[in-house]
Amino acid sequence: MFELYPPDFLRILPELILSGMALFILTMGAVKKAEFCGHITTLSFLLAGGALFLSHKMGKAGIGFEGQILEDDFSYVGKILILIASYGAFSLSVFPLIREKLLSFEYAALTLLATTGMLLMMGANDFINLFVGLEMQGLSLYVLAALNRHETKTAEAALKYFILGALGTVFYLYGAGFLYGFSGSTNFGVLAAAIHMDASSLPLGLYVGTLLIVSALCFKIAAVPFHMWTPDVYEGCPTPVVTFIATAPKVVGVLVLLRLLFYPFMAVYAQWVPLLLALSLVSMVVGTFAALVQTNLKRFLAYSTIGQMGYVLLGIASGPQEGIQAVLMYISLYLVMVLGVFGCVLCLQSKKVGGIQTLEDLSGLSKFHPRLAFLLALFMFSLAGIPPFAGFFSKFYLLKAAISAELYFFATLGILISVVAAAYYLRIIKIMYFDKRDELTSDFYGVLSSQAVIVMGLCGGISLFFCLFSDPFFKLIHHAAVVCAG
Amino acid sequence: MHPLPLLSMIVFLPLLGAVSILLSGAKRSANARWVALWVSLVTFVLSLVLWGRYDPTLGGFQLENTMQWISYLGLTYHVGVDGISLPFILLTTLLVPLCILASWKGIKKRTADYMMAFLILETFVLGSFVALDILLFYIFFEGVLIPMFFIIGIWGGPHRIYAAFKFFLYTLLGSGLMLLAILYIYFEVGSSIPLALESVFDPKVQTWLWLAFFASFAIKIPMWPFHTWLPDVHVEAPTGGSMILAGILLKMGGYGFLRFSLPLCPDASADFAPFVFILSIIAIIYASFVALAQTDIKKLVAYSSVAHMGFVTLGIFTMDAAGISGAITQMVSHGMISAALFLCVGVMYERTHTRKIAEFGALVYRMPRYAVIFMLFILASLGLPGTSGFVGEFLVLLGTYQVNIYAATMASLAMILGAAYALWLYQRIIFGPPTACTFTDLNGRELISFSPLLVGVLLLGLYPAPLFKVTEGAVMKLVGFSSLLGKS
Repeated sequence: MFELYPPDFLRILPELILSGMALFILTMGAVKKAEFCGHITTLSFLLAGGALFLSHKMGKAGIGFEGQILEDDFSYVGKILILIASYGAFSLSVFPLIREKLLSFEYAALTLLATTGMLLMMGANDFINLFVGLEMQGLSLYVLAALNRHETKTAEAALKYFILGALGTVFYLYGAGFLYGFSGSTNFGVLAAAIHMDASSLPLGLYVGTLLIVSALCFKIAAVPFHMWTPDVYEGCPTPVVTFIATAPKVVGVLVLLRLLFYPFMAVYAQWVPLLLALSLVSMVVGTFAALVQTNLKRFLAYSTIGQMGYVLLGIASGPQEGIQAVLMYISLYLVMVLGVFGCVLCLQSKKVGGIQTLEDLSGLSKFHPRLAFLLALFMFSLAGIPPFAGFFSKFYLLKAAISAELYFFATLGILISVVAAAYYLRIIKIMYFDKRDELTSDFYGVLSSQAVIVMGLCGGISLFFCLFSDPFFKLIHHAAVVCAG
Repeated sequence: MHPLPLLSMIVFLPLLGAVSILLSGAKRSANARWVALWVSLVTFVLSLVLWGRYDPTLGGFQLENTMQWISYLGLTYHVGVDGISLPFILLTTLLVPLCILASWKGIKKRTADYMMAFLILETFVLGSFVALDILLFYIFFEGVLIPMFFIIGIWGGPHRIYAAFKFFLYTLLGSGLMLLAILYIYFEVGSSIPLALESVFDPKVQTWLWLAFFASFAIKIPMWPFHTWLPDVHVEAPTGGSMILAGILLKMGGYGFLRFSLPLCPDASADFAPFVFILSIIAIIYASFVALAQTDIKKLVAYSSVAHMGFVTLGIFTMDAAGISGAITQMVSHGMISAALFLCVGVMYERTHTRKIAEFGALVYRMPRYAVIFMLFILASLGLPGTSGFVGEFLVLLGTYQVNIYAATMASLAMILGAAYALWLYQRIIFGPPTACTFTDLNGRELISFSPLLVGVLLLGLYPAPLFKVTEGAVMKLVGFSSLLGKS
């Protein structure tokens, strides 16, 4: 029988706080205004962050709940990133949601529940536990995606998201079933030991299971060929929700992939590396070339995400330690830049319909809102990987890992693709700075909430000055990578 | 007493100027002009001090500043000068104030932004010349693209967007391949350039490294057939942008060859030298013929740049003391001459808003001062003895002759073509049949911006010893033996 230790609860304190607060909001939602729930949500993120910090400081790392959860430096860093992403996305979204009359207490509660799910995924040490987290965040996000359900496009996008997400879940369950069938356990540690024991004569089922689970996670991070939902969801769903979908779930997907590949699946390393390289290659190519021809801003961002995920997969395939470190850095800086980009997009609204639609809506921005244009240009240069901005360092680090893993071909290809990618990131800058436009087709909402301004300022500051103050950040990531590499 | 980090001050002073323009309010354009001019002048004075403090007898890197930067990347902030980088630093700090003067009236919109872009550009260019850390070099080298992209894209001509993209992507492609080489070196020997210079790579690795560096520098300098971006960009860029592009940015390619390709891959450089010779000769002859056919003055000057850069690559890959000194002299000289020629074009463009050769004529009557100055630079461009153009080309030919007599013959013959297009251009514009428009002669500001270049071109032509004194040690080190033109 389970015996419950208080320290175990301390380990999942952030999750407890977030889910408790979500329930509180659900009850209060009936009587209080949505803005109130927004404040409660902010408060719960702060509390969860504090709890995370405390439980880490008190040295509660280790395995808890009889092997169900695993808390270490890696999951600590992962949880920090998730909380930052969720909080950032939420704080950017509040004002736009109020404007579009979409803010409701459900939004706040679902955000918190999705975040709880992601934290659970991050701390999972068991396929069942991971599944619970995965579904918790997945289901919350599907509902969020349908927030503006009266809009046909949104309804369609949400449905697509749900159906393809469900397909991903099926992949996951089938794969986990295979793994259970051939190893007799759903626990990561047991599985790792089982695979490691006789890595020479592994049953085919284990490979199939690995393949299926990797595919399921690739659905979540939108790697080609599991990317089909991304452009439609980005385009159709309300931008505030897309901000959330584009940040936290991507981060958690990548981190869980890292955890699985370098822990239970480490022994079949040689089998999944070619798989990831192939996925990386097609993601880079498809994402980048498709982004070149987009005219819709959010579709453009979707394809650019797909292209970026190609680089992440290349980093993962570059092997333990170096690769993990590079991926952690890449995904954290990517998170910062994407939050910033969406922050800029959320500041604008087209005069015709709610939220700006096409890339052309950005023209004249440098004349009318120089600061916003500067910020967006900064993020674009950074995403394109031009020095001295943050994006360059993450790309450099990633390619260095690839070179040290002797993946010369893929590193070369990554660089060549990044030149093509620069073309479309520059296009945004061109539209903002070079195209002459006497009046704006888009409208500026003015400043968002003060929290949103701080979030965007931080994102901009990190993108610009990362090269100056990066050592503490490297230190944190380095520890996490060491732990993850085992 | 801790000595002042002179070199870092020179590099970052322009950036500081840009920040101060940003903070002082972008609306006041007159203010921005003066800030930019003074900042760049002070930078120039500081670089003269640097020249004074540089001791050519010591050799190696001097006046170094080192600082731990990103320890997890093994990245240090490490700068220093040697005989190869010093001339380029002086050239840069000389040209930037002149570019700012040249843009004084021509840039009417967003003047403050323009000045900021120029100052940031100066920081990046200077940084890439002094960086002694391989990643630091790359950051500066690539950073140059950002301000230049805006300079062309915002203040350029009708097809500025096409030109800006072509410039950015073409160069990015080259530097991307260089990044691979840099990653490899970084992985093998770490990020310090002096350390990398001492290491010996396997010949097979050298070939790959050489090709990767070549991709970047051949596009940057540019060599035929990678030159196609240059005429487009020159035609669209504003006068100041063209001056800095022809005057300095092209030299970053030549500098790269001298700093990386030759010392890091000596075997590969020797193997590829005939290949470079062929490309250089083609560049000289082809670009000269194309220049003959141009109807746009700016395009003509742009093609003449390609031809002159052909001499530079020829000189560098002779791997001979005379050839390399010649290449450096040619780069410094071309930096001044081409900047002056683009300034000449810009002066006319400001008055007439056209650059078509056919629309000018008989300027000698209306603008005598302009005619004289233009003539001097045209003569310097075709390499008349007594001007800096002659010294560079002569030394290059001298070096080439010792290595490859055919290449030297072809290059010498091609110089006639250079004279042909330059003189013909002069004849058509200055002496041709008069056209209807009226022009005023050069004003004081324009004369001031021409005069340092004029002095520089003549000084370097008549008495090039100070330049050789600076470069001698570094060139010796590069070729690995110790006799330059018979001197010890």
